[in-house]
Amino acid sequence: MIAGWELIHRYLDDHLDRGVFITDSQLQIIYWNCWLEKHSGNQSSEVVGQNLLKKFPELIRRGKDLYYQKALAGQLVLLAHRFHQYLLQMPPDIANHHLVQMPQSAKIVPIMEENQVVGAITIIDNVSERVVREEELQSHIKRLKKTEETLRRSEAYYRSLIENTSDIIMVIDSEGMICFASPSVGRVLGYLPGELNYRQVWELLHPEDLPKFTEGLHTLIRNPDAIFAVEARFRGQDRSWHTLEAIGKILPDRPEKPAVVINCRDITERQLAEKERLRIVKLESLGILAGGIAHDFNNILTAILGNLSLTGMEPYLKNADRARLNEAEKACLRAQALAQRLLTFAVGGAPVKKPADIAKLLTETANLTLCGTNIRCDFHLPEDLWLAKVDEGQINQVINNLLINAQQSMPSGGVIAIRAENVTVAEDAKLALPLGKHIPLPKGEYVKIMITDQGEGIPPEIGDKIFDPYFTTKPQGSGLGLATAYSIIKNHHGYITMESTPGEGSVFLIYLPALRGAITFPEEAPLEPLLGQGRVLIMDDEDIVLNVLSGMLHKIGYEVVSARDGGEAAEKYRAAHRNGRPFAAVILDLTVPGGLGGKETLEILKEIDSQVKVIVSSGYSDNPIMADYDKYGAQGVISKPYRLPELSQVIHTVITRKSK
Amino acid sequence: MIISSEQKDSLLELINIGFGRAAASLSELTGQRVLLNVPQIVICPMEEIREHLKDLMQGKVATVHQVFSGPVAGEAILLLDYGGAVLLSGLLSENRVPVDRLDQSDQEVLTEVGNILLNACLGTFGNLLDIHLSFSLPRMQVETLDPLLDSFTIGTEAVRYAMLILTTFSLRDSTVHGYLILVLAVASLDLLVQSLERLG
Repeated sequence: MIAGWELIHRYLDDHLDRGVFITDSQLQIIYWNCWLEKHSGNQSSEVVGQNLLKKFPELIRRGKDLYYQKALAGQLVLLAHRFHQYLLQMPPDIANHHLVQMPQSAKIVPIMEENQVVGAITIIDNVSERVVREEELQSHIKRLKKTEETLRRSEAYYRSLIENTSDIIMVIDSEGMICFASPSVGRVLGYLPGELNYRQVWELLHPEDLPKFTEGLHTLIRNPDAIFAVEARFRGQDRSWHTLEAIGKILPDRPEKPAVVINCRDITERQLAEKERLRIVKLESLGILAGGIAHDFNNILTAILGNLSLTGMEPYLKNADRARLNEAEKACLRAQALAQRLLTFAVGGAPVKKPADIAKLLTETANLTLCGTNIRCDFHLPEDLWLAKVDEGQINQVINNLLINAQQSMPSGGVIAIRAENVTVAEDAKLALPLGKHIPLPKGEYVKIMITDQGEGIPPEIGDKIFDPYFTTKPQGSGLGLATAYSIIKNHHGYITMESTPGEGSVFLIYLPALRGAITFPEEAPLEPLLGQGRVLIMDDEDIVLNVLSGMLHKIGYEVVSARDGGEAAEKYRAAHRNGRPFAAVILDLTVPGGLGGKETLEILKEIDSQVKVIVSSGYSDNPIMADYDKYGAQGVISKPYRLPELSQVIHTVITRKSK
Repeated sequence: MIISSEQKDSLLELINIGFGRAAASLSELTGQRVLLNVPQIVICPMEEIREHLKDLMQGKVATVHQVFSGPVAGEAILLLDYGGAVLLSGLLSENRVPVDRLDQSDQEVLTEVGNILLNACLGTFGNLLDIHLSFSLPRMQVETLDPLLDSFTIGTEAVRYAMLILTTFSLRDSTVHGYLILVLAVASLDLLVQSLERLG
C-alpha cells in the first residue's frame, strides 16, 4: 500500500474536478474517486478490489488494455480525445447534444517504487465543453468556407460577365472620378486595363456632351430614382470620338460615398448604319421620284419633240424659223439627257444594250470627265479592239466613277493610263490574275479595260471591301460608286476587280463580253424621216403623246388608230384582225397608270395574232422590257422622247422585217 | 565528443527500429498509414545547436517537451515549426476542415504523438543500456525557439550535448519535417556511445 494514502485519498475526493482511479500492478482497482462515482454511476464500493479489465471489459474490446500494459512497463501514456474519444463509458453531461459518451482525454501514469512499477494512476478529463465548442467552431468554419467558395464562384461569375461584356461598365463617384472601368474599355476605346482608374470622366467626354452628362450624373446622385440615360461622345485612346449610350444607376448601399454604375454601349456603328440607312432610303425615294419625273418628263418631251419634228417638216418655213426649231430640238435633247441622269439614281436598272465601240466610249468619257483637271490621260487602245454589247449610259457611269476616284487619289495631279485589249478565256474561270487570283468568268472572248492611276493605292486590308455597298473611305462618300460599278458590270455578264500596291497606285480591271461575228450597228437615225404605209395601232395613256405620235405617223404615210390603254388596244386589234384589216404594227406604251400596261397587252395581242409586230416604248429606259424587248416578244423598241426620223426608222425596220 | 560514422550508423539504425514501432502505433491510432523516417542525426554541443536549427529560429514553433530521469537523464523535445504542426495535426485527424491554428484538441493530439515518439526513442536507448528511465508528463507549448534553447544552457555548469534527430512524417501523400532533440549531459551521452561500441 502506498504511504500517506489516506491524506491523498481525501484530497483527490474533495478537490479534483476530474476522474482519478488507481490500480496496482495486477490492475486491481484500489481507488475510485468521487468524480468517477458521480459520472460513471459506479460506486467506489462496487469497483474497488475488482480487476479493471474484468469490471470494464470494453477496455479490451476497444484495445485500451494495451495502454495499461505500456504503463505497467513504465511508460507514461497519453490518450488524446481526438484519437480515443473516451476511456471509460460515461453518459455525457451536456444536454441537447448528439454525444453518446462523455468525451474524455486521459493519462495513465505508472507508479514507481525503487525502479519497479507498482501500479498506475489513471486521470480522466471531461472535455465535453471543449469538444462541443470545437465542433461548433468547425461547423462555422465549414459554413464559412462554403460561403467563401460560393462567394468566390459568384464573384468569378459576375467578374467574367463584366469582363466579357461588349459594353463598358464604369463606376463613377460623385466627383466624376472613375473608380472602376471594365476591361471592355480596351476593345471599345483602346485603353489598357486599369488605365482609366482614378481619372476624371470629364477628361474623356466631348466638350459639347459634358453639360448633359454632368447634369445627368448629379441628378442621379441627388435623386437615386432618377433615370440617367445619356448619349455622349467619349475620346478613345487614339483620340477618335466614340458615341456611347450611357445608362446609369446609383450603386446601392453606399449612402456615405455615393457612386454611379454606368453601362456604356458603343453606338458609333449603329449611328453610322442608321445614317447609311437614311441615305439609302433617301436615295431610294429619290430614285422613285426621279423615275416618276422622268416618265412624265419624257412623255412631255415626246410631245414637244414630236411636234417640233412635225413643224420642222413644213415646207413653208423660213430658214431662220427652221434654225430656231433646231435649237428648240437640241434643248429638248439636253432635257432628255437630264432626265437620263436623274434616272441613274434608280440604281441597278437592267442595261439597254447595244453594240458599242469601247475605245470611243473610253475616249469620250475620259475627255469629258477629266476636262479642266490637273490629270492627263494616256490612252493605249488598239485599233482592232473588239466591240461589246453594252448600255452606253451605264458603262459611261462606271468609267466615270473610276476616273473620279482615280483623280481624287491624285490631288497633285498626274497621269491616268487607260488601256484596253482583247482577251480570250479558254477555260471557265481560269483566267489567272497576279496574286494567285482567278477571274470567275465563263470561257469566251472579252474586252479588257484597265484604268491605272498614280495615287496612293488601296491598303490590302480594305481591298476586299471596296465593291461592298456603302463602304467608303471618303468622309462625304456615299459608298455607292464602286458598288454601282460592280452591279452594272455584273449585269453585263462581265467582271470588275482591282489590284493595288500601296504607294504606287491602283489598277481597275473590267472585263466585258466581246461582240464577235457580223455586227449590225444600230442604224443611225436618218436625217430625213423614212416614208411608209399601212395601219398602225398606237397605245398611250397620255393624250399629248397619242396626238403627236398620230400626227407623226400620218406625216410619214401611215394610217393610225389610237387606244388609251391595253384593253382598248386589244379590242381594236382583235376587231381589225377579225375584219381582215390587220395592223402592220403596234406601238405600246409600257407604263399605263390604272390600266392594262404594254407588257400585258403584248401577251394578249400575241394570243390574238402570233405574228403581231409590236414596238415597245417607255420613258423609263431602265425598264427590263426595254432592255430585252425581243425576249418578251416585241420586234422593236423606242425610248421616249424621240424625233420623227428615229420613229420612222424603227417602224420601217419592224414592218419590213420578215416575220420569224 | 566525437562519434565515429560506424557508431552513428548504429544509432541511426536503432532509432529507425524504434520509430518503426512508433509509426505502427500511430497508424493503428489514426487508421491510416503513417511512416516515420530518420534520414539524419547530428550530435553537437548545445552551444552549436542554433546553427543547425537556424531555419526554425524565426517565427513560432510547437514543442512537446519531456524530462527523463534515471541512469541516463536529460530532456527530450519534439520540435515542429508552427505550420508543420498545424499540418501534421490536420493530417492525423479525420473529417476536419483545415484551419491555420492549433486548438486545444490539436495540441493534445500533438502531445500524444510526441509522447509516442519520445517513448519509442528513449525506450530504445533504455533497452540498449538495459536501464529503466522515468518520464515527466509531456508539455506541449507554442513558443519561439530562442528562449527554449536558452533554458537548456543557462544555469547549468555541466557541458551538455544535443542529439538532433531529423524526423519525417509521411501520411496522406504529405510530408512533415520535424526534429526530435535529446539534450544530454556529457556523461549520459558517453554511456550511450559506449553501449553503441559494445553493440558494434
